[in-house]
Amino acid sequence: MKGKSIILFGVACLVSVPVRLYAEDVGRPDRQRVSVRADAPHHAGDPAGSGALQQDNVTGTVTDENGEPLVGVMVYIKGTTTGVSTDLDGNYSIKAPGEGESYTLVYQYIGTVTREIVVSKQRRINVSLENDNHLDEAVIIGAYGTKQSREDLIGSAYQVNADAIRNKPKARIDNILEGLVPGVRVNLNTDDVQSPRARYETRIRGGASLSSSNEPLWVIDGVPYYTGGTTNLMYGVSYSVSPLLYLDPNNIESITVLKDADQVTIYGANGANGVILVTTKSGRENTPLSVSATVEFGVSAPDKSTMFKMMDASQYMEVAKEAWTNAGYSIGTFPYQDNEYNSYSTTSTDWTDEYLGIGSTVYASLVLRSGTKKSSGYLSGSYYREGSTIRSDVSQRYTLDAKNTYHFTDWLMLDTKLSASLNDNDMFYLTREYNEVLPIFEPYMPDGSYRIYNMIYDSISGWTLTKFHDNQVPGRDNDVNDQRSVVTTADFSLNADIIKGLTASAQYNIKYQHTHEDRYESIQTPGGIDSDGEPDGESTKGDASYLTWTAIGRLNFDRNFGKHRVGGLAGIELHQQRNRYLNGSVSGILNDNWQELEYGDEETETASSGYDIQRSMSFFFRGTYSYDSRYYLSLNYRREGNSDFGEYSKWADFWSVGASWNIHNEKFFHSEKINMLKAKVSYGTSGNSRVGSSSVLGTYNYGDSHSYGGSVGAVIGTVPNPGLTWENTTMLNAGVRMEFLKGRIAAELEYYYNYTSNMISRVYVSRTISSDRVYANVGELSNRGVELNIESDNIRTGRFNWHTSFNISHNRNIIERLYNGVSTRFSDYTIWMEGHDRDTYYLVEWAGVDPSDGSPMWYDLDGNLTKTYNSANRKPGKSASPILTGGMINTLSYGNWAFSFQINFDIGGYALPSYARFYFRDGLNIIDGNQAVEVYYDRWTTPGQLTNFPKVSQTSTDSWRGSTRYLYNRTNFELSTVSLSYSLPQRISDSWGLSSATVSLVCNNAYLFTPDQKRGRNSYKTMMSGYPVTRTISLNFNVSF
Amino acid sequence: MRNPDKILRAVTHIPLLCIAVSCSFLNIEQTGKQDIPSFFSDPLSLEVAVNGIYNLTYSYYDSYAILYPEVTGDLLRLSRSSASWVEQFNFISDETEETSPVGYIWKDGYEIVNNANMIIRYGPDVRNRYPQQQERVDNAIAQAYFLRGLAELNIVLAYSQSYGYTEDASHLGAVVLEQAPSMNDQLSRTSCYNTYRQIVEDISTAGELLSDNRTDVHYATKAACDALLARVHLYMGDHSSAAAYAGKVISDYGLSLTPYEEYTDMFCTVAPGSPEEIMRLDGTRLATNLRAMFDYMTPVMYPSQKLLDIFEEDRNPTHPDVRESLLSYETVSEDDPSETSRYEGVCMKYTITEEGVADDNRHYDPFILRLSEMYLIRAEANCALGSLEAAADDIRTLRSRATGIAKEDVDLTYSNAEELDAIIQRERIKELFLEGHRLYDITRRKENLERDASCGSSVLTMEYPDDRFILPIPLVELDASPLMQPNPINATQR
Repeated sequence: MKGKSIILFGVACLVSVPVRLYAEDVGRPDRQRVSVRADAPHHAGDPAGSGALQQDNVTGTVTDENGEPLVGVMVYIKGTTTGVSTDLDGNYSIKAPGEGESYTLVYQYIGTVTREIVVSKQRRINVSLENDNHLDEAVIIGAYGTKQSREDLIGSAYQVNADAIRNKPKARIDNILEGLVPGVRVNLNTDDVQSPRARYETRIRGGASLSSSNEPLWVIDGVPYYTGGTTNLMYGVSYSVSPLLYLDPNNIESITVLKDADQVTIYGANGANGVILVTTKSGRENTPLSVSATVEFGVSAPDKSTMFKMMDASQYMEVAKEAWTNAGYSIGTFPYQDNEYNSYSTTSTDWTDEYLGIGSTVYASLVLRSGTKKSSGYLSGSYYREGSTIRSDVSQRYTLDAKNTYHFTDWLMLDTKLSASLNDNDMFYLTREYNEVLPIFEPYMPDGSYRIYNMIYDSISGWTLTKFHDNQVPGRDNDVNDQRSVVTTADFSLNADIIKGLTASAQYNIKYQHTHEDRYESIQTPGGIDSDGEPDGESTKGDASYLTWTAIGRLNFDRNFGKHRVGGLAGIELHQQRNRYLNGSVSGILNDNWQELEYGDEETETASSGYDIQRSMSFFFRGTYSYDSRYYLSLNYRREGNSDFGEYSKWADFWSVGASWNIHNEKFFHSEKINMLKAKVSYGTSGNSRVGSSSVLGTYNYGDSHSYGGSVGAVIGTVPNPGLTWENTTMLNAGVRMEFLKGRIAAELEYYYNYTSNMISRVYVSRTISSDRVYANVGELSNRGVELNIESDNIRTGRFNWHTSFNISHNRNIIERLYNGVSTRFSDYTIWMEGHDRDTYYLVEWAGVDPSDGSPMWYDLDGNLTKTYNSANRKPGKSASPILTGGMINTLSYGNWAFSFQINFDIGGYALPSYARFYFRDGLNIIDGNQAVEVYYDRWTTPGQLTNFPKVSQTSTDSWRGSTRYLYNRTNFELSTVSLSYSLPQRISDSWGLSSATVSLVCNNAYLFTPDQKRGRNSYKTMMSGYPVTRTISLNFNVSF
Repeated sequence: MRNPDKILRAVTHIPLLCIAVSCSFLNIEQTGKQDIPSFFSDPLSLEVAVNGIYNLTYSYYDSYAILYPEVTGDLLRLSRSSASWVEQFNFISDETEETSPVGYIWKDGYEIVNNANMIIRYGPDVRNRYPQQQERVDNAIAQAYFLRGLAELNIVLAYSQSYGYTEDASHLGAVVLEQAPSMNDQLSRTSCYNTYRQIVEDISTAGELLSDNRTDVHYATKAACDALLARVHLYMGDHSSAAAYAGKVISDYGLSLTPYEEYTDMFCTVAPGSPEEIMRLDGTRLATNLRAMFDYMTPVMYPSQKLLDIFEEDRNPTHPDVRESLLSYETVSEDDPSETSRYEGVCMKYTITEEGVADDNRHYDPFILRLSEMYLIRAEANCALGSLEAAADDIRTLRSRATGIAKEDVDLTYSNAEELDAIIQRERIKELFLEGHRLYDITRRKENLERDASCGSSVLTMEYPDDRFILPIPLVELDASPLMQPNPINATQR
């Protein structure tokens, strides 16, 4: 305990020393300098009171709202290159143009509203600049209440502001980042169907770990946000609905993605995968009430070109019969022969029509903002409803957010935030069988009732009524799969200005999520009746709760001393995450109206519950120093303890240092074209603590399966692992930023090299220690890459403007070291191997089809052709990681019209699509499920035929087994968002009493292109996701007054 | 300067600091998760954990512990259609066979050892907390020691040459774990001498901790400890100790040989309570793999012709050997009592044929130790020590029981120790066939393996010594432990 006290004392001292030393100095807290352009004459603080003013100079003092002088305000004459900046007392002196001419003086300062003053004869002009709480694009929100101008930035932080995401779908806040941020990839976590609510995985600069979480840390308004377990799986519920769906994207002021050590070290234990800071909107002081209303109507439809293509009924019948006879069975025993119950030969059902249709979205929100001198408020309410393109699947969200700021005195301020979100997910889990259900079956009986059985011929038992489990239509109509979540957040933050430049804050945040789940399998479905045809419904009820609380105490310091500027931050953070669930189920329910648990068969009752808690405690410090807006230095440190780790490794230390150099502010730098040239570098460490909590102490498994002599027994589940500790990622980042042509073109290039050591992985240790794999700190892994981001105003005339934002990044992942150098596999198709990418495929090389007999062929390890599949012939090969990823947004505006489109792309890398493996099976078990159209068109039928699809057979050979046959280049281009907006001209909106009115037509997921796409056939395009891509067109109205 | 304000502002942070330094903040209890320290809270938890180890030990004996020494011996014929055990049967075991006996005898054996180590580690704490229940706690700890010794014995027998392979038993033995190892321990095998010493110590410790009133044959007892020590000392070539322990078991614990009439019931009925049982594993509601292997209708494993011939040669028509009756089975049709089916050349030691037993209760309890083996151990040890008459007397006892001939009428002719020794070994085969002894009897006696030609293996004879008499160390183990020493038969050598 002594140690912690000492650290606390130390932090307090560090912060208090500069306070005492410089208490007499004047300066302005929370203000940052925008430097003067290098070609402008630099005025070195000639005191205003000296009386040595030249006659043709305009002089004055610039102050803030409270009359305090502002240092470093840029003052220039509009349309010229003449400019100066204010000195320590806020004074300026600028040479005026010739007598009698009138001209405009511009006063610019970060965080304030720019003022323009038309001058004709005045020689002394004192100006007061108003605070601008509205975020300027150049202000980057950082960790723990820090704000930096882009020019002052040392690390790698990329910010997306509200404007950039305005036309994105209002469903969730993670996948809207796709293509917007260099080095960030947001993808579905599977290309198969595994849940009615797909989980996304977000990767910042590649995956830094093997077995721990690779997800970034989400921080919303300063507080870590629980997004589920290591793969975003929610604890204790059947289907994970990400908490990122529970937020209204319209409330977001900015999203900042922190990527390098300078920025993430302060988040310590969970910064290794990057940090995403979300800042929500708030009210502004001294503004009258403004009301903004938004309404969006959308219709959506599946993009049929991305739908996986299966055989139709006649194609299926032809191939199935051929596969049946090729397998050596007599056609007389073919299962699907017409009978009085099923007329197979005349049935042709397109099952996708049964399940997929037109969806709709509705979004409405009302936002009220106002502020007085002492307080400000922001109130927003919204409703969102999405009817999926999968019929009977609806989600609804109601949100209410209130943010208030109140100044008790001139130095004490309270921030409060209260928000509630009610979410109703009425889900229909359409399983993969929607693809493979046979087109010769139909969903209904001739009388319109559900088809529960099919009459199928079987050579042993003859005609048999067989349950039609693949018919999901009765389940769609009658089953219940409903999840309701209430999320409430309360946040209180007390801020005190202790002395100038030093602010103390105490923040306390509680977030509680409660999820209730109802699931019911109806007696109308094949699964809801027993083998005798009697009703046997099954009901499951579950409750899960997630309670998070966070307390943060911190001191922020920022102050100028002449050309020196010193900033700092020190604080402590306590965090607790507690999850619980309770779940019960029963079957044997006789009536769909009796869905409560007590109506089932008592003998089938089951119940389960669980509990999980994690705590962490941290001390952090950040110090920054800059000189003359030219040289910047930063130092970060965080010490963090986590309850998940063992006694000897509970605590870990993380640190980083960074430096940057504004070359354009140097005297020797003279360039008309380049107005900003900045070089930066940072180096430091971050961690990853997100592993399961039982890994340290070991567990015992208890139960009947370990019984002896009829008495219950228990055995070791996982062995104790007291040495288990944090993963440690060392991060190096170096970058250059340039701005040309008065800021019309800005380019930023960054290189990074992240090296994870002590990597946690499940490995085989000596069998004498554990018979199962154990979590251990065993490996090393690296990610290195480059990112380029370009912003360009291609055309900038008054009425017509064209802006392009383009980013592209490359990442290379290498497993540097594994436990004892031994390769490990957790799936049949990939391998972790030293020197290879973590997503390296491990497959047998496919050699095509023998034209003489249609049998599949592979290569063995020596490169010889073989007709026998042997998994021993697998070898590491291509990787799933794309070579280049990125996005481009073009915005064209003409007058009141604006047109914008966004293209996201991946280039290179390979995919092993699940659907290729499932449905290119060359007739294997074709009696049980339909297969891809290629099996019909391309199958081998005659000797000498050159094809890649073997001869079909119900008892097919091993052609479907893991081989390079199923690898697809994952290059793709996605036209993700296209929007056309029209804003009402000012004079019209004014006459209507509106401050603005906008109407937009937006198309999301407009088009997907892959080089291998081919009409009527399958390609990577049809296999990227389990369901076809949903294309949405919406009409959005926004009115403010 | 606003001094009062300053003080006020500084005070704002004090409450938070207090919370932060509260030292127990990070030490939280994971209720609902059975982490190991909180699991071992009372004597009952030790007993539950003991049951868990017995469950593992049953699985071990229901397969590898019994089958491995028989598949590699000369008393078993493997069905040609069998997919498992082929490599062991033909002595071509490969280190990569993680999911075959090569991997499992090692892995499952050490799983027993590790579970036992948990009880040995946490048991003394529980004893201190519950002094009035010391006997109960000691019993649990004793069970753990016994099972650890038993598992180590099975491992060392499968992966190491027999004790007498080198003069001083300095050749490689097994990994000896006196306590649960940590993740960072670099483990390696110790010598055979040390391994056996540890086994003897474990079993002796168990014997000391056990109280006399523990007599349930489904758990370790004092008798079981002595009996196992008799076997281990025989394996170590310490004949006087072997004879002494065997003699103690025979005379001190009120055990007697199962009578002739009840002999088959000892194997073929549920919980027979036979008087010669020393220790057998309770199969209640557990898997019946051995039954599947020796199933009389579709056997995977058959008694070898060599075994059948031994009984054939010694057959006395007037006094049939009851033990031979376990090599065939006759069923009577339920519909027509006159209709019978006879299955010849099958092993019936693992099939319950008792009528009126519910299907879910048809468990056999594989033997770990029974009294007949003690007679055989004492006879072999006495013979080696030169007490031929004492040795012959034990054999007469066994034969008398097996044939029903009065002991004094049993004809036993030998002219020297070698001849008597051969008689004892033949008796051993007839008594203990297919109970998991054969390979170890061959190798500890440095005999050659000689199979009959019809057994179907590609290896019919193997001269002692041979590297193939033991299994390779599994590759997964060698990969995980840089210091682990392979066997000569391993492809990986370091």
